[in-house]
Amino acid sequence: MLAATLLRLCLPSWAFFDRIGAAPRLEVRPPDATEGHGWRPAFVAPRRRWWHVAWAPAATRTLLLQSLVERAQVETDEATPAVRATRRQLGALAAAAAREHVPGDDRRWQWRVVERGGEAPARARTVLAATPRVVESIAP
Amino acid sequence: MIAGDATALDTVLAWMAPLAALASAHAALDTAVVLRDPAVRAAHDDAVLAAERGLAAPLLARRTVLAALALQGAGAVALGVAQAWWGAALGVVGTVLAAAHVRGRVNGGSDAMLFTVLAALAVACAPRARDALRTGAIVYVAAQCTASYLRAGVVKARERDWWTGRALAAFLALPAYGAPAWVPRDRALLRAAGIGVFAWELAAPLAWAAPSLAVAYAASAVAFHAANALVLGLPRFLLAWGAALPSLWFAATLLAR
Repeated sequence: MLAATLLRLCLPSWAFFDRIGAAPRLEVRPPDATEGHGWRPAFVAPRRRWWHVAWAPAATRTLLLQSLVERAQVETDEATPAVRATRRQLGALAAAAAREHVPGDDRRWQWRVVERGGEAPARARTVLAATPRVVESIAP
Repeated sequence: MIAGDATALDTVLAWMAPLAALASAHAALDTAVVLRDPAVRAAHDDAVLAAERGLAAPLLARRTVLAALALQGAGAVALGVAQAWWGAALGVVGTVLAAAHVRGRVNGGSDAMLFTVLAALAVACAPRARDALRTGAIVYVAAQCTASYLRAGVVKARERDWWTGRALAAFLALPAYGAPAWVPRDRALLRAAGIGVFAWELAAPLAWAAPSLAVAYAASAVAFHAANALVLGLPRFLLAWGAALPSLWFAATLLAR
């Protein structure tokens, strides 16, 4: 892991903001939610303030968590240890998000990764759900 | 070594060291705050990632990384005040460990630029380093800085959406960035801004043509990164690139002789 990190830092791609893809989002809901309802984002970006030009750890947090979700979006081979690690991370993040939504709730919340594309997304595509297994359903 | 280059080297180090120290201290503090967040902590828990980290697990444990970040902050003071090479080296170590702890990068490309600047300064500020090596280290930063703009410009220019304004509109709509509502969304304006951004990025090599051009390009780059920081919440990019930009002047000065 250290060697891979060093390689990425030594040979960065510098290809910032090159293309628009479907934006994945991690969503969670209580285990007793009715089918198709109750999904809420696991984390949201902070409201921008003027001082964020110099200091924005909340924005760094959002981008860091979002990069984890984006990794899950592109990882498809469930057999590799790296992918299994990402799935464990998503589960842990979803549990933390559940505790944030409902403090003290120790139930196993459901989570899913959905893709929302374009500027005005009307529909979302579920690409990964808590089982964990890749699904290809259309969600409202 | 061309006569007079030593002065240029001293001048560029006098700019880069304190700017890199600020960027390094800021990154260390920002990362330490983020790693204390409950959600981030849960997703990167040492138990969750133990198998993935393997033998490096003790080195990448949360406590070790937080200690490295504290040392990075202390090293930043030494780098800024006394151009201490080890202050830059501590920043390199903190940056690498924090990035590996989160299995990638803490703050996208800013990690890579900060790593580049600090690694180069660790070489350039070393007491026994020859002038040729010190010069090479700073020119390397200038090359990476130029490549960062040029590559970003090329990949944008190849995408039709950057010519139509659709790309900027889509990025402003991404929830992860949380762009404020006061940012104009007018399509014609976004089209002009999009084309302007990649045209400006593609012009980066011109900074090597003359020291005055390098200064002008660096000034415009600061304004560009400040706007990104304000709109997209990316202050670490402003600081990391801000520390790298004086190297463009140094490279242009070398070529002008």
